[in-house]
Amino acid sequence: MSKMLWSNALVPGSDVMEQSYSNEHYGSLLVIPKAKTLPIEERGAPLPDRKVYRSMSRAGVLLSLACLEGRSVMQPFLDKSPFDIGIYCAIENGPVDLASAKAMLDVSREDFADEYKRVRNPKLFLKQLPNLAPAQMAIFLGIMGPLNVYNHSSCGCLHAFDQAEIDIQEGQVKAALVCSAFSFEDPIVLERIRRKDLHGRVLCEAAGAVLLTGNGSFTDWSDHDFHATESYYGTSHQLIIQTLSRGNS
Amino acid sequence: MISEKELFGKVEEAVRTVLNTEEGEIKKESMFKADLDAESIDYLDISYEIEQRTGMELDFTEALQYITDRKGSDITDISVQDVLDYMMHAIKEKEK
Repeated sequence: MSKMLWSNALVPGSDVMEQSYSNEHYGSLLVIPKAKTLPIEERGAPLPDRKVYRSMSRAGVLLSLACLEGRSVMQPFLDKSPFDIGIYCAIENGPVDLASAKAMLDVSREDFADEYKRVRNPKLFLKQLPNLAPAQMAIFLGIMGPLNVYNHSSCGCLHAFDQAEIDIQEGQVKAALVCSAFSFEDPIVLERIRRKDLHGRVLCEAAGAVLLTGNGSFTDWSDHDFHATESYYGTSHQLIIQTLSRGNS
Repeated sequence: MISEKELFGKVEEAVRTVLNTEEGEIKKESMFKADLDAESIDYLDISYEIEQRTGMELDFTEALQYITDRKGSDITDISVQDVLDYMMHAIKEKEK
């Protein structure tokens, strides 16, 4: 199996109270009965660039926080070559701007352009790009290796692990940073999860990262029962479960 | 008409929101690039936030033209005071 050099999982701790979650724009149409959010405020997150929260989704901020913890482990690889670490990230598209959509309701055709310009945050579209989150994290860490992004809603992490294993085995990279983040930004994603994946579990925000290197054999990261868990971590589920079961280091 | 002091309060809040600076860090003499570490893409964001707070459209290209007319075309940075001066000028022009 590939060797796990380091791992980190940001999950809500036991001090975070489980509560029901609803979205202000959807009201009673969308209620997650049991949910936990991470007690992290994007604006106050300790990132190397304090401005970046304006153009990063919440999931993007969480992703960087999880990965930055591993800087000292990654640095020896990066000192040899910044191209030696590949990134394999499972993350979904960022938030839809429901606040400005609401503000633009009932606006006449003639006034729409002005109203759109007035209420639309010019950086919001950046938050919607899934590739931007790991790219920004890579800038923070100085990683210039291949960037792979998977936004399959429920299997993204497994796709990321698979490609990381292949690239390590083929010598494309010396180390693979497999990472993922999940947040409560898109109500439609949450509703899909409630209907298809939750099965009574607690839905939790989370971010995680694993640094892998090769040891000559192939690990099957899907060989685990990901259903028998008390919590569900959205697109990050498999990575978080693997990290928690193998232990943070 | 809005006073310069009131306008500074709104501009300061707008810039602080975008650049995520601490309260009190932004002063009238603060230079956007040198002191506040602003980048060109931030100007778009700052003008949006100023518009949200003042209801006044801030065209940075027009503002820069106004400022270079007064300070010379070789300037590479502008201050918060420069923006306030332009806005006060634009408000007066609008009221004429």
